[in-house]
Amino acid sequence: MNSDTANQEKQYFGLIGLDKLPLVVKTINFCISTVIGINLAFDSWYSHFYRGIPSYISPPFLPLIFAWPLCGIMLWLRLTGIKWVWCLLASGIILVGYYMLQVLALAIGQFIS
Amino acid sequence: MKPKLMSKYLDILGIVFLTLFLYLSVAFRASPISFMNPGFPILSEDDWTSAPSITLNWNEYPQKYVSKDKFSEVAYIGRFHLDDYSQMVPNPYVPTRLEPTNFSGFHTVIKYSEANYAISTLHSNYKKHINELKTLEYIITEIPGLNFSSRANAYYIWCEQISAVNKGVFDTETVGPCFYWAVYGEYYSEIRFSMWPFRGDGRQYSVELFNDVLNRADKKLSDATK
Repeated sequence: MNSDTANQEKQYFGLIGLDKLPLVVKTINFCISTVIGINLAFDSWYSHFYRGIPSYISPPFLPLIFAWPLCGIMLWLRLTGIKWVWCLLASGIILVGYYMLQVLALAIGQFIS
Repeated sequence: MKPKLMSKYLDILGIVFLTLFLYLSVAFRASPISFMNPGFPILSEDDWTSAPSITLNWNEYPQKYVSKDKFSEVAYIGRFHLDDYSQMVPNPYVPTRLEPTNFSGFHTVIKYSEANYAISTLHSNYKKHINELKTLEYIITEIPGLNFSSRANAYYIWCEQISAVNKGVFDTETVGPCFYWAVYGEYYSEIRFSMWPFRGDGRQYSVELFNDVLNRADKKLSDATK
């Protein structure tokens, strides 16, 4: 019993210990965060799409424009106990979701005009 | 034990990296111009969130130009137009159609390496402008009836609707361009306003909006040198 307790103490549950959250909570967190991430991505990136990339930003810094909200969502997910692989998957879903929203927005725009 | 330690270090490394990246991206997103050139004053969409009836549209988003001789001298030039939906007026060609009161602006801001250069540019550009117009040599230092008073170190306002007839009243019926030159420290700012897309024929120049733009631009400039 004592050795079990000692092993448990040695176990690593993430930087703030949220890796031990129940799977259901993690799943809900993952889904909600990803949906919010897609919306934030659309809000942040779509203006660059139709206005163009601002010319005053040097090319080496351009990826920084698109770092938000990807980095924010990944950071949030990892800190709340989601594994890195799933964080990367969430980023991929955000990129795909943004692309789909963009196509939808352009189609609606063309339909209206 | 070792894999646990490794995953802890991986976590720390990943989180530090993401936080740094996030900080830089938020800095860009909040104000990319400020990030590249701190204190650059220009009108942005965020400046108009308090006035929901007014929309700011960029005809040409601000472009950055760096002096070939002095790299510390940077100029930004942008074209925009403002639509004021709280003041709808009939289209002069199709009177049944109501249009928002609007005008276009051509905004140039130059940050010089020394304040003296900014002042000399103000005077030389103003003289050049006045020489081109010749007969219309009437400068105003305030907008009558609107209580506009600039916080600039030095400034000029020139409006055709006032200057042409040399009177002290802002005539909203006679639509023409207005210029506002201002200097704050090392910053020189020049804004040219004109009606867009129509001129004259009953279009009302939104004096309140004009004054609002000047005040906001003025505040931006004064904030820039703090």
